[in-house]
Amino acid sequence: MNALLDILASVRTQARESVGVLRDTVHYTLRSPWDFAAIRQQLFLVGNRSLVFVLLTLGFLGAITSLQAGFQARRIIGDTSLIGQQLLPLLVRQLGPTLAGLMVATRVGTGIAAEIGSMVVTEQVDALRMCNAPPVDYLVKPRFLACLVMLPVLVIFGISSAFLAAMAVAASVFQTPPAVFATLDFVSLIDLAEGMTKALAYGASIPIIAGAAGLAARGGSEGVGEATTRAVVSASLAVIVLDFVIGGAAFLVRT
Amino acid sequence: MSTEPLIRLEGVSKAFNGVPVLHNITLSVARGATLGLIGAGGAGKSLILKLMCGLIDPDQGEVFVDGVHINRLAEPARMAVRGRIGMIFQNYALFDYLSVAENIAFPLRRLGRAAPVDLMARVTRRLAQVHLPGIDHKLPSELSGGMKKRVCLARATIHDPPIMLCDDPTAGLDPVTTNRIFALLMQLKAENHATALIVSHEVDALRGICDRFAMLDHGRLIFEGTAAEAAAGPPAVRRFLLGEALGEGAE
Amino acid sequence: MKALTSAAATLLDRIGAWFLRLAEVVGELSLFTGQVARALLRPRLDRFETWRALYRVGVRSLPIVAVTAFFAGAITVLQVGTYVVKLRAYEVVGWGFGFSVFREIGPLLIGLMFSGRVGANATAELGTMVVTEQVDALRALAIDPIDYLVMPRILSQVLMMGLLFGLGSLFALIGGIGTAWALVKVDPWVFWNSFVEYVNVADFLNGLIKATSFGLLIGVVSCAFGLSVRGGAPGVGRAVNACVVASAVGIFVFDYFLTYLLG
Repeated sequence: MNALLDILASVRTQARESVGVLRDTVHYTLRSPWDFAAIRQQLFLVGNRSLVFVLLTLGFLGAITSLQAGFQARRIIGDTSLIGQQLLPLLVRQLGPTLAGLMVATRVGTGIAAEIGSMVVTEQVDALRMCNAPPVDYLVKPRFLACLVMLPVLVIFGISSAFLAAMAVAASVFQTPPAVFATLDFVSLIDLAEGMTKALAYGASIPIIAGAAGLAARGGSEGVGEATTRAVVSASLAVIVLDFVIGGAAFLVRT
Repeated sequence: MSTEPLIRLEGVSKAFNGVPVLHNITLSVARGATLGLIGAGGAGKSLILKLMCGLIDPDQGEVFVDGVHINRLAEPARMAVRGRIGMIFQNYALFDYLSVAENIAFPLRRLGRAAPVDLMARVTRRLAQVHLPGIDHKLPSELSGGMKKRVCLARATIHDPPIMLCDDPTAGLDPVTTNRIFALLMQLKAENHATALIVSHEVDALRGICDRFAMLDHGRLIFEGTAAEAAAGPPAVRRFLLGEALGEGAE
Repeated sequence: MKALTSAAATLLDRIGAWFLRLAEVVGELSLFTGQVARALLRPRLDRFETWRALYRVGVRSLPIVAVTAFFAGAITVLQVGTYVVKLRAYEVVGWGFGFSVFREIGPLLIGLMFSGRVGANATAELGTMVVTEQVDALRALAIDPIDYLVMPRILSQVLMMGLLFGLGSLFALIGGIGTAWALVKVDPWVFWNSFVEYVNVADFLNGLIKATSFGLLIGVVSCAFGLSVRGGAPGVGRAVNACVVASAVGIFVFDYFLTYLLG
C-alpha cells in the first residue's frame, strides 16, 4: 500500500514540476530573445542524431505490421492485396507518430535529462543562475523549439520508412506487387490532421518532461541515472496518453 | 560610506530531508570586509554562501543582501541582485561545453555589461591577470585543477562585482598555487573595492588575509570576530583558528 | 574537384568511424552475452539477491505497465473501431482487439515501457556501482559480478516480463472494453463474446514468447551497458541513453524475427 502512495506522490510532484517548466518555457519563448545558435545545434542533435534510429525502428515496425496483417489476411480472406491501402492510413494516423514519438522520447528524452541532470549535480546550473541565465530559458527552450520542429519531420521520415519496409515484406513474403500495395487514396484529411497533431503534441511534451526531470536531479551519478530513468518513463507514458486523447478526439470527429 | 552591513543573515535555519544542517545563524558582513568562514566538514559553510545569493531558501529566518530582502523575492528579481555578486563554486562549475574564453565572457554577455566589441578584450586582459594568457580556446576538461580555479576566479570577477563569495577556492591545490590564488583574490578584491566571504580549510592563509572570522560547529555559529578576539574564545575556536595544541582535559 | 574529393573523403571517414563504433558496441555485447551464457551453464545464483531483484523489478514496473497496458487496450480499440464503424461489423471488435493486443501491441508497448523503467534503472544502478568502485570491490572479494549482480537481474527481468504480459493483458482488456463501450458504442457482452470466440491460446502464447524474449534482451543489454560505464555522472547518463536506444532497436528486431518464425 505504501508503495502505491509513494508512487502517487511522486507522480504528483513530477506533474507539478513539468507544468512549471512548461509555463516557464512558454513564457521565455514569447518574452525572451531566441538563441539561434543554440536552437540550430539542438535541431541537429534532435533531428540528425535520431534519424537513423527512427528509420531503423519504424522500418522494422512496418515489416512486422505487414507480416501480421498478411498472415491474418491470408488465413481469413485468402487475399493479401488489400493490406497496403489499409496500412498506410493506420501508419499515418497512429503507428507512425506514436512509435516515432516513443523512440524520440527514448533517445532524446534520456539525452536531455542526462545532459541537464549532469549540469545540475556539477553545480553548472547554479552557475547559470548566478549569471542571469535562467536554466529553463537557456537549457530547455532551445530543446523545446527544436523538438517541436523536428518531431513532425521525424514522423514523416518514419512513416515513409515503415511503408517502404512493409511494401518490401509484402512483395517478398506474400508476393504482393508494390504497385498494388502502394495505394495512397485511403488516407483522409482527418488521418493527416490526427497524425500531425500527435507529432506536435509529442514534440512539445517530451522536452518539457525530460527537462523537468533533469532539473530535478539530485545527488551525483545516482541522481543523474534516476533523472534519466524518470524522464524516459514519464515521457513515454505522456506519448501513450496523448495518443489516446488525440486519437479519441479524432475518432469522435470521424464518426 | 554606509555602515549598514552589506550581507545579513538573521536566525537562518535549514534542514535537508529532515536532517537539520543549519541552526539559527545570525551573521553580518560589513562593507569592504574580508570574512573567513571556517569549521569542520563542508556542508554547512557552502550552504551559507548559497543562501546569501538566494540559490537556496532558508526554512526559517531572513537573508538581506545590499539592502535587498533576497529570500522573499521571486527568481527573476533575484537575478538582478546576483549581478552584483561573483561566486566561486567548490567544484568549479565551469560550463564544460564552452571554451575558457566563452566561460569567462558568459556573465558579461548575459548581464549586458559590456559592448560586444570590448568583451573579448576584457576577457583576454583578465586571463592575463590570472597568469593564464593564451588558453582562450581550450575546454575546461583540458585544464589542471589550479588552472580551472583561476578560470573560475576570472569568471566570478569579470563583471566587477562588489560582493565576492568564494567556496573553498583552493581545495585540492598545492601550497604554491594556493598562495597564488589567495593573492589574486585579494588583488581583485582591492581593485573592485569589494566585500569578500571566503570558505576554506587553509586557516593559516586565511589568518593572513581576513580581518574577521566566523566558525561553524555542527551547524551552529560558535564564534564571530577578529583573530585577536578568538584568543579569548571557546577552546574549539582556539584549536581551529590559532592552532593551539589539544591539551589534557579536552572538553 | 579537390573540394569534392575531400568532402567525399570526410564523408567516408565519418561513415567508417560510425561503423567501427557500431562494431565495438556489438562486439562488447556479444562478449557479454557469452559470459552470461557461460554463467547459465553452472548457475551460482545468490538466492537473496535474486528474490530482492524479483521484488524490486515487480514493484517498480507493475504500476507503469498496468497503466500502459490499459491505454494500449484503449488505443487498439480506437483503431479497430475505425474499421468496425466503417464496415458496420461491431461483432469483430473483440477479436480485432485480442489479436492485436496479444500478438503485437501488448508485448511491444509493455516491452518498451519495461526497458525504460527497469532496463534504464539497472544500467543506472550498475553504472553508479562501477563509478563508485563497488564492482572492483566485489572482484577483490573474489565475487564474480556476473553471478552476483547480473544473473539475478536478467532472471528477474525475464520472469517479470512474462508475468507482466499476463497481468498487463488483463488491464488492456479493461481499457479495451471501457473504450469500446464509451466511444465505439459496443456493448461489453458483444465485445467479450467476440473476444472469447475468436481469440485463442495460440495468440496469447505468441505474445508471451515475445514478452519473455524482450525481457531477456533488455536484461542482457541493460547489464552490459551498466557494467561498461566510463566517466562519472555524465558517463552514467550516456550509458542509460545507449541502453534504452539499443533495447528499442533490439525489441523491434526480435519482434520481426519472432513474428516471422511464429506466424
